[in-house]
Amino acid sequence: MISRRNFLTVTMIMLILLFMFQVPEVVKDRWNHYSINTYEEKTKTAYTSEDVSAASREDAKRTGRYAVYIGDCEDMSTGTVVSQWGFYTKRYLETYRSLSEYSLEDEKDMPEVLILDSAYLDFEKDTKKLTEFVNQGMNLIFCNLPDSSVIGEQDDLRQLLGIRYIRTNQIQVEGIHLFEGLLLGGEKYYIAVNEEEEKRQDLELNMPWYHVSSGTKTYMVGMLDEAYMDEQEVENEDLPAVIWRNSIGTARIFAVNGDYLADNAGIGFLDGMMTEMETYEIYPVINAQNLVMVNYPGFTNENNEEIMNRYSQSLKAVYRDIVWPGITTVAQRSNAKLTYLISPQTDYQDEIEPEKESVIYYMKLLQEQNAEAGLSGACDSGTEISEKLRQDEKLLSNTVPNYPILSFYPGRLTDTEIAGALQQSILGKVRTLYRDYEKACRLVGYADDGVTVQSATNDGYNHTYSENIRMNAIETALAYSSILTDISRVAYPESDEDSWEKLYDKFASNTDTYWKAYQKFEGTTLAESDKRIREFLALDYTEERNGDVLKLQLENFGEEAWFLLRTHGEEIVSAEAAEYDRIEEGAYLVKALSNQVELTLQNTDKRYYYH
Amino acid sequence: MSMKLLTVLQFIKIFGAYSVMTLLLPALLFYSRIRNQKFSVRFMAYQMAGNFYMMNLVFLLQLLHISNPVTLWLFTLGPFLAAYAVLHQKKPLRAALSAIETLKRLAGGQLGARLFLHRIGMRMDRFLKRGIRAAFIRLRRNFLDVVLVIGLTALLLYLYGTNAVTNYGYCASDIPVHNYWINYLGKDQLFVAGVYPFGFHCVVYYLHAVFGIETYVLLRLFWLVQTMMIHYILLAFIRVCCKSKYTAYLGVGIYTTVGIFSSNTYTRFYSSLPQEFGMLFILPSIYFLFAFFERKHQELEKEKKEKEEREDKEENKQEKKYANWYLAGFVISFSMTLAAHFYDTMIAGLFCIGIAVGYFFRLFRKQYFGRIMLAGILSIFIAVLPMGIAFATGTPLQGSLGWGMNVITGGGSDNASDSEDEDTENENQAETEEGQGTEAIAGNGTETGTESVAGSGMALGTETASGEGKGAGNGIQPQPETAPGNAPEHMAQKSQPVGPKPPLLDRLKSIGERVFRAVWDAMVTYLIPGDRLIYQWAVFISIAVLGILAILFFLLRQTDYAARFLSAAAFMVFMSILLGASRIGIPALMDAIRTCIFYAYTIVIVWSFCADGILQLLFGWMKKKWLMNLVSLLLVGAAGAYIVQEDLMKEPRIISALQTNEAITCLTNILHDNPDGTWTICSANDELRMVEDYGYHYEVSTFLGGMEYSGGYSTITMPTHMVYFFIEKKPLDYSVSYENSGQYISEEGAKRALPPARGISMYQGENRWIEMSRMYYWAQKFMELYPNEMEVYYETEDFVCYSIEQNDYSLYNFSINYGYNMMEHRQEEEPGNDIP
Repeated sequence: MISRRNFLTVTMIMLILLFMFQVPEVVKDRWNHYSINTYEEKTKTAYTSEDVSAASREDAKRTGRYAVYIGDCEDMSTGTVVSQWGFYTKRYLETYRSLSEYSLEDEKDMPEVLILDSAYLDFEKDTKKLTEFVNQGMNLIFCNLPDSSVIGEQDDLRQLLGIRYIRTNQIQVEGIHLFEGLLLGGEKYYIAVNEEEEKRQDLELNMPWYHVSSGTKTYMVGMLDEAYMDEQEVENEDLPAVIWRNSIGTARIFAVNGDYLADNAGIGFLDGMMTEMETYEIYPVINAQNLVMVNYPGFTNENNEEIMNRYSQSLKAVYRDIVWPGITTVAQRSNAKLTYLISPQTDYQDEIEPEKESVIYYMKLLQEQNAEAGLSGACDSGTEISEKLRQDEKLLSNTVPNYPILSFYPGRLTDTEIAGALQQSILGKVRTLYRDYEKACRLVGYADDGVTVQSATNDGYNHTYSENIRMNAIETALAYSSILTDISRVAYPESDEDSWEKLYDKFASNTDTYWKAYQKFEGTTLAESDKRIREFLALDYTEERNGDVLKLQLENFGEEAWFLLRTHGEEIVSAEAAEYDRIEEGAYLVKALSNQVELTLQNTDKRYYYH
Repeated sequence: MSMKLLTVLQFIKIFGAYSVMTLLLPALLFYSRIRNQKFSVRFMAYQMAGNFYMMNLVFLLQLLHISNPVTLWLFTLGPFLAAYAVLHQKKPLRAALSAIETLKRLAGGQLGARLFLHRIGMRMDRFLKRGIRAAFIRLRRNFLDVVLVIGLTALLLYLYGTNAVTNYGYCASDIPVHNYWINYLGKDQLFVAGVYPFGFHCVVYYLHAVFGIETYVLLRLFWLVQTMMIHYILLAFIRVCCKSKYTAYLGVGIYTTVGIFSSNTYTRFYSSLPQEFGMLFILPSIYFLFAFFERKHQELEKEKKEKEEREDKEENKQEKKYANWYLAGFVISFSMTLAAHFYDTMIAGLFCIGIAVGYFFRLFRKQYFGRIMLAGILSIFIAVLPMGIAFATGTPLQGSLGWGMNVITGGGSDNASDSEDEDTENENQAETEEGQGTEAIAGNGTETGTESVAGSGMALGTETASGEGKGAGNGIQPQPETAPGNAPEHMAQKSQPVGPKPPLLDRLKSIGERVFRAVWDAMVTYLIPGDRLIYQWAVFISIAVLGILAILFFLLRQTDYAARFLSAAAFMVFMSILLGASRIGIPALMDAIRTCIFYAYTIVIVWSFCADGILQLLFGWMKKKWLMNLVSLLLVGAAGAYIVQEDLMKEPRIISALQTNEAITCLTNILHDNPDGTWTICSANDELRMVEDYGYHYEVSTFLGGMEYSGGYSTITMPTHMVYFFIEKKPLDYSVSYENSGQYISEEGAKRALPPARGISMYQGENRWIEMSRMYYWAQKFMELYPNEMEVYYETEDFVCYSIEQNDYSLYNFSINYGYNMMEHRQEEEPGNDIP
């Protein structure tokens, strides 16, 4: 028989255990202000499109950031990319449709770089002029090259480009090798070695085979089959050059043998090239890494038959017990912050209504995860967007009436529909529009006076080689990435490929693998990212270097600003009014804490033994 | 870290490693067996045993092609432990079992960890206390000796060590060749350039492989260790041969500190060279032979006496063996002279002939002659065996060995004087394709007969049998050398028409005079230059006095003592003849400039013997030796006071190195900063062999030649991650100076045509200035093309090292048009467009 004393002890222990387990849960539940969007206050900013800093000719004289582009700035290809690059790097970009329109009157007015779209050049006439520019010390970037026959015919053009000779006019390479140094993220091999990787190979593999001459530096080459290389006695240095730099005197001439500058990846390449031209390069960046789940359903048991067949569970259960844990695990592993752009229903015609409990349940989870909830504009084709938004508003006002929607994903809505949607009261507080990636479209900017546009940079389930290049390039240029993951594919599968286990495999491996190099960039929600974009777009700066000290003078400085500093061997040894973090060798993320920043750079590569 | 401090630490490491092998390990093995011997004898015995083992172990493993650090460790520790167990009657198996048992008990808990540690602590404590006590007793007993040896060491470090921390590079042009041969021992290739005495190389390789000291560091600093050992051996030898306690310090003190001898006699000590290494073994071999004669005589006398007393046979047998150990000592030390360098064998051989004179009364007796002959043959056999095996298996003779064989067989001795080292140095010029580039010409000394030691801009006596002495440096006026076909005036009578034959006495007198004048001439040229008549006469007088003392001691029936004196006197007579051989008109087996090194080393023995002999005459009759010892100590003090008073003290010499200090500093940093095999140095010379085990080397001459007239149309790549370019802004004089020596590189130099890439001459004199000027302007141009990629790695006023980090998958083409390689006045124009 148990003694009274023991009985009391056991009871006390049980009570303590009960207290320990229950109290945190109670506290968590009580203090979970799920109905308030905490990002509303945290990311509040007064910056609008009127504050955007656009460099003028006068600014260029002051800051020295001045480039000339020969081509069309609105071609939705190279020109648009160059224009974006100038905009983001706060450069004054002068554009001419042909080289004959541009003349250098005074060497003092020499631009940092003359960027050339070969389609707008008449090489027979222009080569001589370009050579003259180069002899005066002007840097050139050939965003693309003319046909190899044009290069073959002109010795002086070859000399200008640093091409020793053309081995063949066309060769199909096995893959592409990007060396480290130009883009962040290090060395990359884009060569498919198995069937799975074949699916990812979407790069242009046919190219003219140029042998570059001495005085050049190669950044990207085509890869050939080893047996072929042995047979043809091809050295590594002789591989088909894709991106290289020639030097004539103090001028640097970059050449791109392909269309790598025809989409948004180009802004990263251009920044990389500018870094290679100078002893160091510092430019503003956004510093935002978004992981966005769009069309997150789970409030209704839609498409139940299909889901039951596949998972033997209801849609709500699948999302709650399978999908949600998977997503949060990936987010934790990659230090990402999640934004859920929810889609309360897909089919607004059926009679199945979303459950309020589910909404509250998810909003609580989001709050615990520090995630942000936004709204997706996707719905079945039979429902008007206005009707969808009305029903969504009704649902949310009944469940989380004080939760303002700050981010909106329009899906396939047209611009007019978007404009209309933004007039709806549910989207009255929207600050940012989240859009799918579109080639050569501005990655970030303003949709109207008060609403920004953020573009996705990658798809959560696919990661082709060109997407990888784009991701690294955009990280290089803006320290920005946004992974769009359409989670509704699980609810409405079109094939076996849309089963969650397969989608999750791709989503998890892509997110874990390719963004690893950028974990020092900050994970943000769309609202946070919006604030940073507004501050980034408003920012202007001048820089000055005296010996080891690099001074930054910031204008339109908000609360924070980020810069990427790229050096050649130099390291930051101290910073005033700034914090810094080393991203990789020769690349630092600098966070300005005031409008005047001082960085001390030094080559710390000192000799251990001295005489 | 300062390079000076690093050099000191490296020296300590080398000294320590060498001492472990040549003192500590032999002492641990043999001390108990030879504890009754004098310390000096033990010291020589340990030295010989250690060196002999290292040398022959390497030979053996190399011939078996299993030489590497693991086998060397294995065959060092294994035999050592086995020998230790046998000699000290240890039971290793039992000890191992006992240790296992103890560990078992420890693991099983029967023995507590605290008790176990306490026991170990107690043992160590006992051992340390015993060691300290023993050391203290010895220190007290030999206090003055310890003080004097420390003083000598301090003097040696001051006089020689100063150069080690002042100039870091090799000071002799043939060291890169030795470096090359040693490097190939690491690749299991013995005699890579042909059969050659490899004793020195084996020891350096052993220290490199076993102790992990880089070969180039050993070659930079081992000379200081070997020079110290040479002096200690001299001290030990005189000490054991003399009767008074401190006379040895007199001789060694004079040799070390007094600046009466020509700098030729010790300049080579500043370089790690085989000949100087071989000097370590000359005097021990002589001592062991002396000791054999003495001990054997004692044994025979005892045997005779005991036979009469019908003593036990076994004891007799044991006594006989004891004398034979000395003979064994002679065998190993004499064999090592041959294994190290022929010249050392020649000197040791001459001393042996001197011993034959000194011990003429015993040598030809059957108890001695057979054994000595056998020992001599055995010693030569041991030394020659590895070379013989290699030769028999198809390795050709190295050039200088061919010369040596020629001398032995009697042919071509006329050219003896310059051939030996020239052959070694000419090895430097052999171009071998290796790695990505070119094997370079890593040494110098291509001028016929030019001595290879670099020294303060002096040309060290260019010497051939047909005419020598173009300069001897340091104020020595070169004297015309005589030769059979080119006799000077005082020998001209030889070719006069023959008249009536003068009487024999006159003829002998004439020959005597001629020989004396020739030897005197050679002596004042190479040994004691200038107007130091007292010292010059002291050389001859001391030899004569030693001869007289020998006769006196024979008369006083101190036979062995007298025989040593007579041996030394006879040896010095032979040395004198060798010194003046070319002037006398007989074949010169060795250059006078080389002979003088050995001459100075041994003449102080004569002086010490004379002083000791006189002290022995004066005080030897006394039973107590303290007075004689006191007087000998006073003599040392008096000599010291005289040296100071007369300002005869030598100053530390600074020998110009054949590499800049900056180059060595850079090389050390490169080794520190990069993993092996990931870098290339493009430089003018010596680094080729220095870096061989760690990285790659590209010759400046090949580099510049590769882009001459072609600019960017040729291809020069270096397939390593890092590439370093060593450029001397103020090119050094690599053994050869020229009118504008010391000038800085300039455009004027860069405009000059590249010197032909033949031999080391392309890096000598003005050619080096041209090449360095070209390199500098190449670097400027390349840096203009690659400002972010190429950086200054190290720079001083006189030197600059550029480094460039390469993408391993896309190497830079270093061939560019830097202007001076494409100058219009050249024969060829830039090739046209080479589009195929």
